This record gives sequence, structure tokens and C-alpha cells, in this order.
Amino acid sequence: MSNNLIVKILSAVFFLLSLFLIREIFISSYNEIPENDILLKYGILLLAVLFLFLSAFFRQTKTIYKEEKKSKNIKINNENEQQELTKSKTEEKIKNIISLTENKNNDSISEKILQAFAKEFHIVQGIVYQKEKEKFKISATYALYGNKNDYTFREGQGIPGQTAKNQKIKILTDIPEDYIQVVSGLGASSPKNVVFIPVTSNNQTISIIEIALFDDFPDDFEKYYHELNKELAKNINNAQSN
Amino acid sequence: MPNVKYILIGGSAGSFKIVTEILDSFPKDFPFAVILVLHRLKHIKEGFTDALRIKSLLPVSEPFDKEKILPGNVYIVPANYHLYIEPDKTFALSTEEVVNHSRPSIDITFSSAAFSLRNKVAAVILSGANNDGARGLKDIVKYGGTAVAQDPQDAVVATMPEAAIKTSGTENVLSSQKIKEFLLNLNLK
Repeated sequence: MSNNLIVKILSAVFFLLSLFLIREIFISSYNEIPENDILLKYGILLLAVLFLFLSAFFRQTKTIYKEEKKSKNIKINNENEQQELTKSKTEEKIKNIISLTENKNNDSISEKILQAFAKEFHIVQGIVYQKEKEKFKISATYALYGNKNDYTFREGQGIPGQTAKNQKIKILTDIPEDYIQVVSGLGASSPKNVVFIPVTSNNQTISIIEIALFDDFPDDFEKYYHELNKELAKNINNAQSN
Repeated sequence: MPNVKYILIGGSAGSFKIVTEILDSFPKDFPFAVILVLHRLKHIKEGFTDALRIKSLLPVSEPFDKEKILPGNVYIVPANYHLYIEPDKTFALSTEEVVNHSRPSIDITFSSAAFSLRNKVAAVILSGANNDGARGLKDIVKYGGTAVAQDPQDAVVATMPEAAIKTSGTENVLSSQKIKEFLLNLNLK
């Protein structure tokens, strides 16, 4: 900042000085100096002024560039740190979800899955579907009081059915307005994301976890999905045989 | 007034100070479950619970859906949810439509608690600028619970306690100081 100011003041001083010199030369030239000499003096002077301006200009842009680079580096460092932080956070959250759903029976496993997700990911609402024969049925809900329904689907039907078929996490970011309306003192707002997580065992989808979130779903979730899927399937299978 | 196990406190504009004072007065071995239904804005969610936590000797939390209600705990209804009290003494969260322009709605929590907890509940309506809680407090009276309203003259905003007193017909109209004493001496009278 102060460097910039000094450069500006210096270039202003040089500018005034050179204006004064030009005037002096101009006046004196009419009197005694031969024509060739005047041109020479003009030329040198103009070049000098140009040089001064250019050097001032470069110095200024250099300092600006340096500062920008500096702040960029700080930013990159921060971003890296942030990524490190969320990375380990997601891994930890998934570990917690796995341990929170261990050793449950069939009546409570779906509830526990939603409670675990609520605890770790601040979900707004959630549903767990479990496969019974050929159909997926709701086995637990989170914060859906008064909205009870007996929605069922087969593999391939609707978004949860597609998720069951594809066996891949599906994240909806463009939430239909009637999906859910959450109204605060500040006005109405829909959740940011609805995420469908399939749980598979022996290449069969046995359960779908549907959760709605206000926050962004962590980017690195899929990295840990394989582990989560394996352990959740184990916990669900154990619960069903308990 | 024997048997009370649950204390409900409903508040809106102008109630934060008295809520912290009430929490501050509860001892560490307070044998009641305390449930706070306070209108608040979404963006102050985090700091709000923390602020109350600092003041209280009892653990303060925002309950999860279907969580069991336990004595000696303070529960704050999470912002943007309605909170029902179920007959099996658990919480149920809901994102239904707003009631009385608010979510949480004090009416919903109070009415469900009145029905589920009967004479085991004491419910308090504090300062606020709307009518939420009036019907809820009426249900508390109807099902045999203990209903209390802050004295409108003592409240920062009188609308809510005034409506609650009028609708429920409760005679327990107390200043904030008296409410503290009343809650600390529940079951002793």
C-alpha cells in the first residue's frame, strides 16, 4: 500500500520536473541553440520522460501483482486446510454412522440409521425404505410426523427406484417446490439437497436411505460410500437375523 | 399439585432474558424435564442454544425425532420444526405448515403435551407479540395440567400472555420472579 503511494508521488514529481525542463528548453531554443541540437535535446528528454513513466508503471504493476499472488497463496493454503478438515470430518461422520447402527434388531435398525444421519449431517427430513419381496416399503421416517404415507415402489420406479436399480448415490439439487417447504421467520425455503443412498448386499439393493439437507452434501462422501455401504449392509443383515 | 414431571415454557419476543433467568435458577439435580418452545429466526439457531447452555447447570440440547424425554434435561425445540410430545414420552419432529405464523408452534407442543402428559405437566407462557400458545394453554387446563402465564404488566410484550390468560382462564398469573419460585417449588404445595 505505502509502496504504491511512494511510486505515485515520485512519478508525479518527475512529471512536473520534466514539464519544467521542456519549458526551459523551449524558451532557450529560440535564442541560441542550433536546430539539430534542439531536436536532439527534445528527443533525449522525451525518451527520459517516457522511461520514467514506464519504470514507475512497471514498479506499480509489479507490487500489485506481488500482493495479488501473496493473497492468492494464502487463499489456496486456506482452501487446502479446509479440504483436509472436511475430508477427515466426512470420514469420521461415516465411522460414527456405522458404529451407531451396530447391534440393532430389525425393529430399530432403520430408525437408528436416520438418527445417525441426523446426528452427523443435520438432516431436515429422512426416510428409510427396505425391500420386502419385490417392493420397497417405508421402514422409518425422520421428522415426517403427520405426513405418514404408505408409498411403495419397485426397482426402477421413480427416483428412489432408479437409485435402487443403478446402485449409485443420487443427489438432487434442484428440489421441486412441493417436495417440502420449510418456513422460518425469514421466509420460505426448500432444502438444498435431497440425497438417495442405496444399500446393497450381494449385488442386490436391500435398502434406500433418502435424506433432505439444508447444507451442502459433502463432496467427498462418495469416496467413503463403499465402506459405508459394506458396513450398513452388514448391520442391516445382522438386524434382520436378530 | 403433585406428580408434575415435565415443564413446558413457551416464549416469543421479549422472553429470552427471563428464559435464561429461569434456567439459571434450576439446580443441578432438578428432577424435571424442561422443554422450551421459543420463536426464533433460522439464522441464530446455533448461538441461541449455546447461549442457553452457558447459563444452565442442566444439559441443554435440541432433541432428535423420536428421542426419549428424560428428567434433568433441558430441550429446545429446533428452529423450523414443530415438536409434538407423544404418549410414550418421546418427541416427534414435524415440518408441517406454519401455525400462527410460527414454526415451532407453541400451540402444537402444548396441546400434544396436554393430551399425552395430563396432570404431569406444568406449562408457562411468557412475553410475546402474537397469540401462539393460547389454545395450547387452554388444553393444558382442560387435561388437568398446571397452567401459568406471565403477568402482562411484567412482560416486555404483553400480547401473548394476555391472549393465553383470556383463552385458558388460568389463575396462575405471575411476575417473572414469581414464576421462578413457582417452578422451583412444584410438587411441594
